[in-house]
Amino acid sequence: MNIVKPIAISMVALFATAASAVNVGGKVQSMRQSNEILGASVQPRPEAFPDVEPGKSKTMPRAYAGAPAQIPHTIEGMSITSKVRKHECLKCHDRANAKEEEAPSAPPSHYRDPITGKKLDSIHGRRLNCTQCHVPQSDADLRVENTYDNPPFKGTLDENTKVLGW
Amino acid sequence: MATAGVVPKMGVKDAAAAEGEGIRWDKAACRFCGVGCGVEIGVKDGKMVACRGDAKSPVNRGMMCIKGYFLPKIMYGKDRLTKPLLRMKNGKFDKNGDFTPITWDQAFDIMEQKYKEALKKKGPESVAMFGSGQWTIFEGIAASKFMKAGLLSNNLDPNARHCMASAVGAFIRTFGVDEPMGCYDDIEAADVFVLWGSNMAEMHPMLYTRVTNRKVTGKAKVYVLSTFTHRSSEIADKTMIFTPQTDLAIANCIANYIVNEKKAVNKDFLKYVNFKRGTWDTGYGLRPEHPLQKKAKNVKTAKKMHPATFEEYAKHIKKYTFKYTAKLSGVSEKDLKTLAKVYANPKKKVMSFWTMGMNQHTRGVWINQLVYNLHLLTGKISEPGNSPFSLTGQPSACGTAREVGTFAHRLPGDLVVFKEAHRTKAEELWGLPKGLLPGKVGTHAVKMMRNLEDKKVNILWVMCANAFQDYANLNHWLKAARDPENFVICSDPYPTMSGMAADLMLPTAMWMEKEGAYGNSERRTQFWRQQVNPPKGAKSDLWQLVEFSKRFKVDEVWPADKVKAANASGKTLYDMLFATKAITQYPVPDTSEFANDDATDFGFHIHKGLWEEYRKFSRVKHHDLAPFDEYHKVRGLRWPVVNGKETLWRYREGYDPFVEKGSGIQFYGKPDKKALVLMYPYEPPPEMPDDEYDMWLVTGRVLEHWHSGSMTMRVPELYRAFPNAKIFMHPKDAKKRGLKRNDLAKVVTRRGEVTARVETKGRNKPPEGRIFVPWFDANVLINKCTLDATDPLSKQTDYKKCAAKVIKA
Repeated sequence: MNIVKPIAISMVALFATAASAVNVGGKVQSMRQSNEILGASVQPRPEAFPDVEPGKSKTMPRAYAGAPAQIPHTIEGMSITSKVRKHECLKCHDRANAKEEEAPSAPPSHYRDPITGKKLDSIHGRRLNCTQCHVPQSDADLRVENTYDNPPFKGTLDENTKVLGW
Repeated sequence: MATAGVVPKMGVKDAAAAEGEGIRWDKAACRFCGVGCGVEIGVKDGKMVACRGDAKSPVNRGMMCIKGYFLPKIMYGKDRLTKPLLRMKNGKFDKNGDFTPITWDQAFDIMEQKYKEALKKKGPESVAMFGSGQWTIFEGIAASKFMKAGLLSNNLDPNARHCMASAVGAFIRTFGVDEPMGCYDDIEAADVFVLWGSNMAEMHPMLYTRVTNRKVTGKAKVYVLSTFTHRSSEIADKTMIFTPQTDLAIANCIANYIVNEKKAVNKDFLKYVNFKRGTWDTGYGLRPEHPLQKKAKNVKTAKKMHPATFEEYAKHIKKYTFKYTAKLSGVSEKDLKTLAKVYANPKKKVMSFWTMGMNQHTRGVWINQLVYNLHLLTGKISEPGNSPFSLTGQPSACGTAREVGTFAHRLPGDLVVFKEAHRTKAEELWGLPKGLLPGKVGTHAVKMMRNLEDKKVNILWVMCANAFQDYANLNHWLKAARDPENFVICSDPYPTMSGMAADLMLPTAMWMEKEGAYGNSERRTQFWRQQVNPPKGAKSDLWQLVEFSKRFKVDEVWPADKVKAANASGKTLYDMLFATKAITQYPVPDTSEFANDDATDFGFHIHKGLWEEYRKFSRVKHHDLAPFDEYHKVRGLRWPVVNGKETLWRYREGYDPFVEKGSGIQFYGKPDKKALVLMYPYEPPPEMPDDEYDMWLVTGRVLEHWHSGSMTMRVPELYRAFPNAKIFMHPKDAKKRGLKRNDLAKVVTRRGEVTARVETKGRNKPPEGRIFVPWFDANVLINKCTLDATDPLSKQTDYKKCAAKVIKA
């Protein structure tokens, strides 16, 4: 049987004092970091997201070949709009700007028509909502570990191009 | 891209050819939302190691959202359940005992004992199952057969009740057939998108990318109607923030412009519609003793529709002038006019999108129907780009919950339990004695919990859902679960809130650990093979249902005359429902490349058998599905599949094979083949902010987490991207309460309270007087605060509006 390890010692102390008519049995624990379900739960410390300015952060490792890059710098207050010129991510990560800005460039897959495979001069419209794939990571303590082993990153970023023979 | 009739084929070999580094690739459907993205699963050494958007899937063309990209990790949370866990003391079941590992046999022993006790004492109405729009289609079929034809209880309802019931109600009432007439191809043909209560950017990301592409290439405009500003506003030409519930008035206002002001009704189309007046003042689906229920005049007759004329309809909506509606809704007259002109202009192709904003609404069916009115009055329906489109929340709310009919009132293929002819048809197709199926509508989801609280339901099996996190007014149901007279079972891969509230947890094989099938929002049915083995001890929901059916002799659960009629004495429910000739005729498939644990365990290809039997239902009411093997070859097919061809637009000649030649349009779900335009007014919600509870509370999801977070919170990357639920509020509201960003605050309603941190700069930007709190976080059980008022027609809960206060914690 797998039992969730308590998250932090300080919280174990909190649990021990929590008592209620409805007490969950045993040592099994859900994502709720409290052993009783009717009263209040605990709130972890507030998580902090990287406050490093773009350009001053280090690239993060990918989860596996083809997994999207994660954002190592702050994106607070940045605008992602449908107007490519006001799109703050593209100011550095668009292929046209990346070299000058010394930023990682959006990969070739983003400059193709996803239906025909045709190469494009500018990023495809379906690729503009950056934060639906690329997200920053906070320093929050995991509530539950994951046993997935990140395989070493070897593959190509453009897996689909390969699949379709483009 | 319209690809009418063209079925892209790709077999195992093609997928395998794309492999690299010893990875086996195969197609599947994403585990999460109703978009139904095609994904390719990379497996190496028996573990899922990678995942990519399926470039050949017409849905997402090789892209995925962040949840999709991290799919490989959802099965590998460290606390996967591998043994049934029963609350025990001194080696025996004890309501207050500790969760203790037992064997599957022991788990079925206690379940058998509890079920049989309840059935004997109180009959089939004392047992209930809360199922899921995330069940595979096969699991939905098995659950329906087990509960309805086995235990003779219609107390089966899915979490889709909380999600899609209002959409279904409106489809059936307006068109007589469930699910959208159009498809995703409409996106590439539309000139204008109107989002009515849908934050697609976070909840349906891959469709949103397609909308975004239309917008940035200058081909379409986007209008967002919402009660708060959110990410979908980023691409909007205009975001219109309205006061909760006034969408009813806004829809009528647009109709008034079309009908009375601009006189822009499509007169040629009127021959395809009938006008009716609905029943008003119908209450709020609360318990009968609630003052609001007592006050309402037409609680019992809420469903009734009365004949009406076009002139009566025109007169009814006259009240909803721009001036009146602007004052009520808070949307400016100018903005309302902009919207109205979009719908009225015959040259503009309009796609209306909506999800929970319209469905989770105490007038959910009404608002769905009021938006259909706009499309019917203008004839903007059933053709590329003109498309009222109800987006589904869950991956198989359509395929499983709706098409299989795992609701308290439904049977497969749009049949219903309360019509004798429908029951007879189901009995015939399932090979069961005539008159076996119960005709009384079972307990819908909300009533199920109320009955648990009242001890009318004593056994509740929660499967593939997190009832004890997702139900509104949660404190009641948590207490009910712990009542010594009740026994609650929870099947899940992980210990969830529902597991914690239960007496028995069953370890469940999930997603790629079994053969499966989902049906998405655009009627696309998608299959996958079992890709990996589940952790030893975990079993699929299908296996659990079918295996448990062996514990009941028909003599114990069916009336004697039916046992006799079926010549079934001494046989089990398993024999009669699952191991029938119709199902066992399909041998276990070749498992050399892909395992199939369910088929291997039962000794026949149970998925295929169930499918081929179920498929006959699909032909009763124009839902035609293709043969089983076909789906393993293609990237899904949109039903009805007729002569091997999928159907992209229904009800219009030239697109839909069921429409008779020369008729133009046929809404063939209705006896006279005409759709309905319904008259409904604006009516206020059951609870509004007052002096004490001075804020509107809106709940919902976030991009990174799926529903209650039981999978995504266990993926480090998704967890760290959004670890804790926040109280999104306006900076001025925070300041007034002495709160600043990241401060702990309490959200308090008449029903309960939660503590969470304040967010004033986040992605959701409520106007003053409103807060948004997502429900994925078990530390912040916001559903302790929400109100369990429902739409009286659809019985769907309104999670989008109730009165709350926020105080410093």
